Amino acid sequence: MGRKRIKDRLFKRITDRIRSEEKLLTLRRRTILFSLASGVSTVAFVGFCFLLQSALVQSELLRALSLVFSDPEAVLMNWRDFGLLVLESTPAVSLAGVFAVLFLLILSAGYAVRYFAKMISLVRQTRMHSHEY
Amino acid sequence: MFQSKTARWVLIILGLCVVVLLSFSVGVSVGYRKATFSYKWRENYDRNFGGPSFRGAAFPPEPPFMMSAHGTVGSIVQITPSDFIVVGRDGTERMVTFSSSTTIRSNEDMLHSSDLKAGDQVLVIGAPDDEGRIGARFIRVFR
Repeated sequence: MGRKRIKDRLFKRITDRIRSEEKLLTLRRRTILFSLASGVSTVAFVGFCFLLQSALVQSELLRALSLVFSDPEAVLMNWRDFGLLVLESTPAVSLAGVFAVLFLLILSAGYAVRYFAKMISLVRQTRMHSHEY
Repeated sequence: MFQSKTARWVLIILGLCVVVLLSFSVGVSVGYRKATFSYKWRENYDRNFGGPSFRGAAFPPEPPFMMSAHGTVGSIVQITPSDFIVVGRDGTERMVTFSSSTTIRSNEDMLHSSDLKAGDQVLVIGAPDDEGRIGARFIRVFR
């Protein structure tokens, strides 16, 4: 009876350990995947920022927006034409690219941190149970 | 009503649809104005700028992508009593007409159209006309 109980306990320890190692492997893979994705998103974000900067310099947007500070009354009097000029000269594609890449960067970084934290907590749990046995 | 998760999701989706559709319609409207102005600029190139460009092409040049129709930034290359030609950063010429109601400013000073000269850096706000020109309402001169 005692030997049976020891065998059962050993079997349970082994299966628990296998399960936690499998979980750890999945978490490690996801952490690496999302960390890589954040790295790629960071590089893409820097690239898109340079693109946006050059698009802004090329376009008339910054000069047009400076009128808000230098000639606010002229802007108010011609608000419709000014508004349309701002809309026409906004580099919409570059801006959308920057926002899209930033969104992906924040999402992938968030998931990378979450899975990393879960991985650390699982490693600590596994070590604690090993010491108990 | 707002306690229900389904109702909240329906409201969020409806709100997103409104934002997307409004943005789309603004984009279509702005694109239409730019396309119309670019077309009229090309059609009236000979009349406004006196023939083919210095590149010696037999036909008027293609407008760069789509041109802003409600203003321009650049330097004045040619000036007459009723209009002037501005060359922007992309090297494209634009004809700007002014009238007695056009406000022209440099720093804090109000200027007259006769104070403008070739080489001045200007920012123009105005409205497009049917001949591919911009009717200036406000001109800021950077001196």
